Amino acid sequence: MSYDVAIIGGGLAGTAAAYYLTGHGLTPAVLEAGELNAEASGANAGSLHFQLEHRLIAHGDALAQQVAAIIPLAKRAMALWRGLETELRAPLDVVMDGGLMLAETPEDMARLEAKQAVEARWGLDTQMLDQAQVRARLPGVADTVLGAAHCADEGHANPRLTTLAYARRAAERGARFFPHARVTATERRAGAWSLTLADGRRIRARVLVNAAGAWARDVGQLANVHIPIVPVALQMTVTEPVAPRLGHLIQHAGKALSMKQVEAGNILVGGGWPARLGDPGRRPRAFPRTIARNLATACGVWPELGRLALLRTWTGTVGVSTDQLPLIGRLSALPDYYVVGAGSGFTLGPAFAATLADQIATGRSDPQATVYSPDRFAHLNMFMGL
Amino acid sequence: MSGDDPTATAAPVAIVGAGPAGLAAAALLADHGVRPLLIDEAPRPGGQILRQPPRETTVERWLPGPLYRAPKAALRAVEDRADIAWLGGATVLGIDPPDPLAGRDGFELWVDTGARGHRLIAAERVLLATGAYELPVAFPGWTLPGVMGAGALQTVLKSQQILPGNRLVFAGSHPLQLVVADQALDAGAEVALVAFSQSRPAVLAAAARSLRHLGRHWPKVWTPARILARLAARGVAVRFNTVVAEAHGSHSVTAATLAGLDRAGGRAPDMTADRRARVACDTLALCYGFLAGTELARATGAAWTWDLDAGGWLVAHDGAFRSSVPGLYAAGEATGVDGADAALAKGRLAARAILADRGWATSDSTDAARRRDARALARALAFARDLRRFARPPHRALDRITGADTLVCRCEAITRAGVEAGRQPPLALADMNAVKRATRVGMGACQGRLCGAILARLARPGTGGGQPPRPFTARMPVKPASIAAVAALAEHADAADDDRGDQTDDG
Amino acid sequence: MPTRIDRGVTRGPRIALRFDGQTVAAHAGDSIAAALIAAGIRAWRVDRHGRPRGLWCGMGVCYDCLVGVEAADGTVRRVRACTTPAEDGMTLHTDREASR
Repeated sequence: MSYDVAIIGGGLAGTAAAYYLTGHGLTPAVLEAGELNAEASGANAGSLHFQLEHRLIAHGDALAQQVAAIIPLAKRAMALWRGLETELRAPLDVVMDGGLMLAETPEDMARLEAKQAVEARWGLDTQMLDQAQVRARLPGVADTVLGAAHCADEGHANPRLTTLAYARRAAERGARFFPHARVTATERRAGAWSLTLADGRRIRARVLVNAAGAWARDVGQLANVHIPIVPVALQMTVTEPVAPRLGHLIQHAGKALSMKQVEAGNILVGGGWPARLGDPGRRPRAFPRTIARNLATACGVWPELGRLALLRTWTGTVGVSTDQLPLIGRLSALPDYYVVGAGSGFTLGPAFAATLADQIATGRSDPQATVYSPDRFAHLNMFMGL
Repeated sequence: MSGDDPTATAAPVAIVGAGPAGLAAAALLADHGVRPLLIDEAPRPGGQILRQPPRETTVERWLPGPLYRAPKAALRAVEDRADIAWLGGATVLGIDPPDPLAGRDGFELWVDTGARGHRLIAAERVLLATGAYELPVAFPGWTLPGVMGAGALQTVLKSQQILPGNRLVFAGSHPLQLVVADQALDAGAEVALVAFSQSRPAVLAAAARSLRHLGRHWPKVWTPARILARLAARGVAVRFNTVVAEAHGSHSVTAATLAGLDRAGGRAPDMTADRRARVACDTLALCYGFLAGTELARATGAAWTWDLDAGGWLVAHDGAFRSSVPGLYAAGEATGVDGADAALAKGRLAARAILADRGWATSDSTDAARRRDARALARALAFARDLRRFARPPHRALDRITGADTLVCRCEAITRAGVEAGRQPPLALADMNAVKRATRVGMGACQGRLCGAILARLARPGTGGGQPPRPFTARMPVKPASIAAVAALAEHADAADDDRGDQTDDG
Repeated sequence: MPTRIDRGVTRGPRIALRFDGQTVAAHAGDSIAAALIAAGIRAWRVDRHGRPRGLWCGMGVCYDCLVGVEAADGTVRRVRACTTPAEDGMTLHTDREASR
């Protein structure tokens, strides 16, 4: 079986890339070790967050400046999300009614103001709100909240549906999907990539895309390259469904918190709280202290959450790059080897995929995309004899 | 038992579940000078088989008859002693295994004590005796009020002393429905029909076969025969080769449709279009078997095995009832739905393993006793195996009664057609967790306890065998909880961590 | 109609609950589900498609029997009717999933 592009990883990045590649007239195959959308792409909490995140702005201005380079990608993602339900002809529960990043201390406020200046420089529209303005947008907000940064384009979408909708449409346009197809070897043969599956099948493709998320490092090693993406286990919680009462995506300037009410009425609470990486093949485990602190943080800014029931927790394993920026593009150490993933992969996933597909189809990359180029880690592969 | 000490935060052994297995283990540990903490969701111990009336209620002849003798003795042996700590009305939401990185050698149990808040309880060893619940069977109308498990009906009857309806229909494959029908008759109910999926010859053959257990298990052999005779004497219709097909009614059940089974050519019993009968009733009680309660064990990382007719997903264990997680033990129905006698023996064996593993008792002193318990278990399992073979539900027919529009997931209101939508390419979702993500099936308040086994069966029509289905991933909290109470636990956890002088788990 | 078993049974003191504005006589020790069932009430939840729900498992597993309990401050908490004891003066509401 021969394809234009072989994509390893049936998450959002790989599946959406397959969709956009078919738009360029190419025929991709998606090889997924388990089920489509089974890991971080389906297990994240579905935030569409475009403001620079707490974890990115908490470590000083220099890093914030660097990560601000993500904003052009964020703006492309915003545009894609706005049209995605129409494009994919599927309900994805996309809601972009705005997001608030809350501040509880003068330090938080100062951080938000500095953040807003960076965002303004890069063309991301955010506004500072005072306490009264926050109360108007978030009834029941705690008195400790002093203000917030507001981004009108933020919101949420349904991660359980998005990848699957991309897969259905990509398949209609000629992409092939191979679930339960673990790749055990990636080799160059006769000027193309030859992939061997665990059941012995072979797939040939001109171009190889490593979209394996938290497992991108392992997949990279099949081709003797280092991909510096590390697995991080996160835990999220969900309440019982209730009538609409939370119109915004809620984040915090100084604490790990994300909170939103989804289409079905449940409120999802997360924000980067750790779970424990389990044994291989097993889901990460949640633990009581983290669940309690996550919910205490949320109740701290929005006390009425406390009246609801916690329905479930779940965990996921997300791939994070060592510099927290995504990796999108060709690896110059190998012929026709591309990487896509890492960092805000749900919010930015459509933009990751569209950007990658453009690069593969045209052989050129946008000058701004050099920031995300995997070649920034080329030094690691000096040791791999490449 | 000594009552709840609200400041208690540690125990050498925590036992989750105060049914026969938990009771037997608690007594044996206490006999050896180890004071266990026995935790149960019910306010009083006994488990589901001995679901006690509330303290305010006295019942003169509560659960008479030989079936209940052994578990009642185990209950009495525990209720009176002060060297067993008791925490009733408390739900264990999660168990954090030993965490050497955080400097914690033992387990930490996250316990919801209702109005008394949540707390973290440390335990060196944990025994899970979390029992079983009824196997759900999805058919049109099964969410109507008045349609319930036979066990649920029995619980209202024996604990609350209330008969929830007065014209009852039973349908199932498990002889427990005879026991409940008998108790309902005692309470003054009219039993309109008892429908067994088995054929009459199969019942007679099983009855003949059960005679070999008469010596050791006479109450379990004699009781069904006695009840069948009583039903016949009272003119209660008992139908064989018959399965439930539909419940009718708008506000609550007013009638049930039963369907005949076809076993032509020795095939697995299937539905027939003819032989459908509609029977008026105000209560429809179902009794097709049980599922082991393994959510807490699986959420703690314990390995599982699969045997649909033994209770679905079971906690994997060695001969001494150690789970795959060191220090975590499992006994009773969670390791296989084998009945109360087996549960008593399993509980004792698990307690002996805890004593030996921890060095609380030398193996020499307990070897003979252990062998005695192992023999008791073997005898109980011999009966349980025959019962299981007899009570095997008609899986093919149970698949057939689940219509495309029938709710499979009661919580999230997802139909069979809904869960099967993602089965086709390109998605080709096979794994239950993938189906869950795609459809919301199993995402509701029961956390998939009901729909999980239905889904596992629908995926492989007609069978309980083959490749084991991977269950919905279980995670703490294994039951819903008040967010205010969970959030309050954060302060408790912070204080505990400060005491220990380290803080390792925060991000 | 449901029946309380009287022969050989001594119950706790009489209590009274309110369910959707109607008075329900019960006994201390009754679960909420038992109190409602004994009063002839079989459905106390309406699912998102308007279907009535009541007691299914009776042992705290299925969460089908959720019912609203009104607190002194007027807020309503959902509890399992089968495992929650009825208390004198308790105010209960049918749980309507669509308008929670």
